[in-house]
Amino acid sequence: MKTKFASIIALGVLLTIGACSSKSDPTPVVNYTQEDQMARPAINTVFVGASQKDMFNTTIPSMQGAAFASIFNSRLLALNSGYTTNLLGLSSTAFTGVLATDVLSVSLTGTTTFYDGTNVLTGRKLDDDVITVELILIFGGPMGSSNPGLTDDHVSANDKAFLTTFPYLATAF
Amino acid sequence: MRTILFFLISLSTITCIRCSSLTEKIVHPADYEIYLGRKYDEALKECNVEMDFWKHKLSEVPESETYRIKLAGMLASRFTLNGRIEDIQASDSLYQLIVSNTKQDYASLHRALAANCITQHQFREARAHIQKALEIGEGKAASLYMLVDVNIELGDLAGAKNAMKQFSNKKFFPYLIRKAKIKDHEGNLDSAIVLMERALDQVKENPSLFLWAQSNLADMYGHAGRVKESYDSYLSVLKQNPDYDYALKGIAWIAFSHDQNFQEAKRIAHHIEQKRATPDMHLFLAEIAGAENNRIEKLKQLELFANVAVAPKYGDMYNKYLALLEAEEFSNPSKTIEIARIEIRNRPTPQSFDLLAWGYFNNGNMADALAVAQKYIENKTYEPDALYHLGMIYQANGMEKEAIRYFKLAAASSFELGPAISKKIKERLNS
Repeated sequence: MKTKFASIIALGVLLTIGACSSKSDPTPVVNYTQEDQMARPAINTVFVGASQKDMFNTTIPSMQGAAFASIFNSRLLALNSGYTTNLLGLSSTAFTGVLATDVLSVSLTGTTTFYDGTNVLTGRKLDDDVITVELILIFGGPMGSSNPGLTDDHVSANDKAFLTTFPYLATAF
Repeated sequence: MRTILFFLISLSTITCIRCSSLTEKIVHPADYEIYLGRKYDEALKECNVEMDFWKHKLSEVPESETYRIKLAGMLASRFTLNGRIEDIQASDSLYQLIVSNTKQDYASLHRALAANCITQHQFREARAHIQKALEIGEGKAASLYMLVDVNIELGDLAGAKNAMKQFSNKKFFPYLIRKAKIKDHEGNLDSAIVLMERALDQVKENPSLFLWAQSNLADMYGHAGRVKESYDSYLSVLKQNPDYDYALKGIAWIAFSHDQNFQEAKRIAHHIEQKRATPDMHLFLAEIAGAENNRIEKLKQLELFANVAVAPKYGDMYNKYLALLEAEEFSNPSKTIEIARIEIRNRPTPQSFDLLAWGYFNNGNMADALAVAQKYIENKTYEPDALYHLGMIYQANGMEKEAIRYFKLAAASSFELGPAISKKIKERLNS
């Protein structure tokens, strides 16, 4: 009777970034492929369904608007069928047109903030209450005051103080 | 002059062949002695610390599916370190709970469940989970890679190849290792080795994938008769991770099968057996005892193995070995046939049919054995034990020419088959 050691099976071996180097070159050529992306918190999570997730993650941002704006629009209206405009005064198509290009915009001259009551999406600070802002923009209507039960995640600060020096983030847990 | 030179070269070649055929010992205990002193796996300790962390988080927020997912994943990876099947079962229960708690269906959860099913040899259930993950859509590449794995396990090479066609990047590590596996199943070991070497080259920066690929490559070198390269690869694995006992197992096999140094093979096996909870080592120790003609020790080890392996918690995981034992050691071939039928239902591979044919053979049903062999095994698998069985079945049916052909094919894999079966094959070829 033979004992053969079963070979280990690699299951779901996933590399987030695919790097292929060619062996003979003195300086290896490395080609990277885009496998995942995230900019504005929770936008990809909420607006992209599981069946389109792979496609969204591998689409470069400049192509995302054309490919996903209408999908985002139907998703927005499914989440909030009473949507008219929001605090930014954007219609559903205009708003989802902004969202579908999933990048973090930053104003090089103005205040850096996700939303501070005056400036909107001019950057993002670590302590910005980003999810609440997004909820207000999706559910809050033109004045930001509609659907009050849906416009606050009730998490208003990190559970640990951020650092004042690099890397600024608090340690996990 | 040229003739003399030629003569000298051929003479030295012959001498070389002779000394290698006298099997120079490959295994040197000094190379790995330090690894045998290790009683605990450092990675296991770390895994336990991390697991306690997530358990604590979950106790603070019992409704957090995130913490539950973490814990389920930790349990599944701890199994790869400690071999306790209970960990896989606990992992499964957590994933099932998460699936029923979450409103949305996540592909990643079905892939995790499929992975646990594969570990437990529940291949049809695994395939159902992967199909579900593919329907959900997210992470299609990961799902497709798993579909390839499970199709191979189910003996559906066409299905595996079909899934492989859907990948555009054919130079990527997960693609290459599966291509290597398919080549190996098709009996093309040389190509499989080249592919695995290429895959290894890609993961130098990823320790766990590197060790996995290098130890698989070491197995393949051994099967190809490149035993020294196999040994060196195992040593390299251990140098990187002193607790990588899979590589020690490989060295133990070389000590046993190539060097025929049974004492050393036993010493390594005992070390692993005390460190890990899997029943496999008893099977190996039984095989060594068999080669030493120590019938009492052999039976003792087989019983230790069988007592553990038949436990319901192991399900069908050890069916293959239990089936072989019934026919070869416990004179109960009808039980072999019964287990083989279960295996065929679970995974209709040529290897499962080989168990059935071998059950028939040991039961004296030579015509049935031959019918199964010709229909489901011959030209469908190149596993050396199946080739040996084919030889025996043909011989029992009076088809001497075919029998010799298969004995010769099996004899080429004597390292993989081990000394006991190799001796039997030699006797058949010399008779």
